[in-house]
Amino acid sequence: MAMFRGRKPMDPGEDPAAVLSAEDIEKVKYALRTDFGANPPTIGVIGVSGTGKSSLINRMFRTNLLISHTRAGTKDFLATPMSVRILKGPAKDEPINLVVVDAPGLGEDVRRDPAYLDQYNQQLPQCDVILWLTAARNRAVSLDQQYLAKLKPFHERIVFGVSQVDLVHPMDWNAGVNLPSVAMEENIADIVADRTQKIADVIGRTPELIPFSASQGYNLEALFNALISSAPPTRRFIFGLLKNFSYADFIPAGIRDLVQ
Amino acid sequence: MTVSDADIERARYQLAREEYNRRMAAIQSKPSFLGWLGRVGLKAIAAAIAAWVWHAIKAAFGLAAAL
Repeated sequence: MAMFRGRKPMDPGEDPAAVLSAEDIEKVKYALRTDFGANPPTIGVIGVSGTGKSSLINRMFRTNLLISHTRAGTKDFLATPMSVRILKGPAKDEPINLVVVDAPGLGEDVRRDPAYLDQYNQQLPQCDVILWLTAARNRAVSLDQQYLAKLKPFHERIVFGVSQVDLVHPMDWNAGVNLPSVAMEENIADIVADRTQKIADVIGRTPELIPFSASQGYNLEALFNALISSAPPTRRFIFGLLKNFSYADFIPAGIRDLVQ
Repeated sequence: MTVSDADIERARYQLAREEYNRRMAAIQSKPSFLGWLGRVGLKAIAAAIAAWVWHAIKAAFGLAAAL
């Protein structure tokens, strides 16, 4: 039987869950399980150790309590399926796997780098989005440049994030409004400009680098929007359904009314 | 901690940026979802047509055999 037979086209502002019958919703859930069970949404995260890759994923998708590890490839290369639930839409509460591809040892041992890079070249084509993180306080960008130069086929798809901006000098984060201080903001802008130039030298275009802090929830919406933009158009929505934070979560309660 | 007017202005600006990005992500997600839903629907229709054609062929062969 044809799915959704006899349904009128939806208005752009209409909630699919309000339009579909219970039977149709079950069909949507079945299709989600089938489509994304066989081919789960996958994020490739690249960055040397300590750039806060796991913290970011946990913050965006609230995955810290629901992690199960499976190892793929060599013992150091991880493709981690994390069980998460769809948060909105007709398939709300449906469990689904989100896979994070991560090589935790990248940059730690130069003898193993060729093997890691081979694995990245094998794994990254299967990723819906590729996120490249560089820590704001790490001035040595040569490792990032070296790896980037060897991952040329993926340059156009990579989203660049500058992590841990809450640790930028002089580290006087403005807790009152949950923002970097003016002095920090100036330094962050300098860091972003410097990294942008250094990465542009390698990839041959000027990338947009998004500074953020996972621990403070700063600028996560911008980073998430960039991730959505870089995902294949046919699969963007699944990340939106799994996103588990809102910018409002990070506004200090005392000033929420003042600023909104 | 005291919050100055300048802090409030900066917070408003940042929140406006975050809201803009949130909406842009939602705008990009929606057609993606509707497109996926459409493809799922088309697959179901194609499967139904294929099943109907298969039944018709079987019926035609059955009829031919009976004759």
